Amino acid sequence: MAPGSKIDDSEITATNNLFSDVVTLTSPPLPTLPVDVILEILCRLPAKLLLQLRSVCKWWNFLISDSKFIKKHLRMSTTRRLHFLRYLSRPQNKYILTSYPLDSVFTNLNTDLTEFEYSPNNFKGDYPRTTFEHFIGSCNGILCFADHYKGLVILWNPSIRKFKDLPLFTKPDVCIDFHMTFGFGYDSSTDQYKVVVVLDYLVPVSTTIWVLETEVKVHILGTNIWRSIPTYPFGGVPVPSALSGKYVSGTMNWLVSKDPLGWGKPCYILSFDLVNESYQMILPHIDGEDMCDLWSIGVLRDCLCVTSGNDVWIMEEYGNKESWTKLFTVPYMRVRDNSHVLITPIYMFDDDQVILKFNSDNDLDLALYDSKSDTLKLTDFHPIDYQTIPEVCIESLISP
Amino acid sequence: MAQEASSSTSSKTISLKTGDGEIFEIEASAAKQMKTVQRLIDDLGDDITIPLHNVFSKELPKIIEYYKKDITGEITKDFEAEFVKDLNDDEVKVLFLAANYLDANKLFEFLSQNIADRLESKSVEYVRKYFGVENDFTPEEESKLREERAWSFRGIKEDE
Repeated sequence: MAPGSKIDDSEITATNNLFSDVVTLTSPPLPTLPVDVILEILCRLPAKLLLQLRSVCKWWNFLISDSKFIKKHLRMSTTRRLHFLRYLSRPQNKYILTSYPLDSVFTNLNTDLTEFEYSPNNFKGDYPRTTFEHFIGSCNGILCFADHYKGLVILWNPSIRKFKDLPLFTKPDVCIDFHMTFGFGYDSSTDQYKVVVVLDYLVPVSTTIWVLETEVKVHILGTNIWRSIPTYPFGGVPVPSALSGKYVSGTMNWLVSKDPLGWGKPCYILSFDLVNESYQMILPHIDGEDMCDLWSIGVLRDCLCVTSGNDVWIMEEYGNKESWTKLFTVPYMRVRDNSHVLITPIYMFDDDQVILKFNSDNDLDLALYDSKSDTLKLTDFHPIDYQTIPEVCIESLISP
Repeated sequence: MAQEASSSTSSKTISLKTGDGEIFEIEASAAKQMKTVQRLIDDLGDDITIPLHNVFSKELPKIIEYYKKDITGEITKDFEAEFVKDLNDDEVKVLFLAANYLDANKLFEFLSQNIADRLESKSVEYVRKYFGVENDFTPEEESKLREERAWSFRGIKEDE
């Protein structure tokens, strides 16, 4: 409750005297609302309306653009949407970003969509070759995706429709089998958004011998550079099938495999602390045994989550290895050709229902798991880009 | 006057006098939820009539009704919807300001959300009138701002 919002007594006494002889008593004219009271209402409004309300007057234009208000709005924000990304290669060379209300997974309606196209400025004739693009992640209302061919990272806030292309980083010279894996998150100690990239590649040490090298670079949003930092000391490479680094509780997390080609099963989680830029190795295990059949990594209700076979585990308290808890086991899903079904957790609702993505044979299906009844059902929600992995993103006014 | 011990029975009532001179009774436990009232009770004692200069006989009964339900733990979404159903936007605003003056947190937050919900599909002009704000942009400045955010202006309801 805003302090100091009490109206000045003398003002009211004077007004009361004016009205004291009037037979039908009504409230005196309202004084102008105190600013903190106005902000209590404004911070609950949707972003689209707030952008319009910047035209109310100069003072409101300032208030709504102020970073303190924007943070307050984020704290109050509860609107989330389901976002999809796809890339159209030649001749269009553009990204298509589509979003739906989160409850589309229940209503199966794919008509309430918002679509946006984007051609990054930095393409400059050198376009991504692959059409398989995906979101790196989202944080505080900002979505992050990248062209994994050039290493062009793009930030996008769909609520205010603002894009930002990040500067490119330098790639190693002579190498083969070059991969990059990104992560996007927020450092609350410095109020900065950071993108981290892990590069892995093979370099020749002789005509027949190649060794694995890894590099880690950090970019702070608002600066021009990627800063190289010491790489992680545990060995191995991030696994591409697990996709990007996942942000949770001020850390970035990747699934890493000890196999230098990255095809082996991931066997540990590389944790990178965004605040003090240090590494930690996290091993999910239960009953003293390490889980080594990790398939994907994600975040559910702000907890790190991994899938091992058909089991979905979360780390209830980040960093505490005793806090690994099995959330549920996905009921057996019959697939066409017995190939393994990769399960990726997407989002968990307040009522404990979970949106999962099933990936088998390039076919994506979204499913809803209800923990209360232990049932899984495939949704009939099939937007045009259902082949890609969606990202759930909250509404905010933060400029990328 | 010495304040009674905090174990005052819930049957104890406090008298409140509105800015237009009417007196209403409220239970002590409900009065506790309105920090301004509680502060006045602490200063003046709970045996005298507490003056509330800035709240009037139109609003106070409604506020008392809300907190009567609150102390018995009966506030539900249905009750809150019913509570504001017949109020127009200006009546809600007056109630909201009264809740602010009384430092009645729960009601204040509920009404903040309700006003936000009412404003969601309104135009810039309506919001200006509602908050009593004067437009100090020149027509050129305003049209430039609207152009920059043209997409956000599509799809608004006509002013009532």
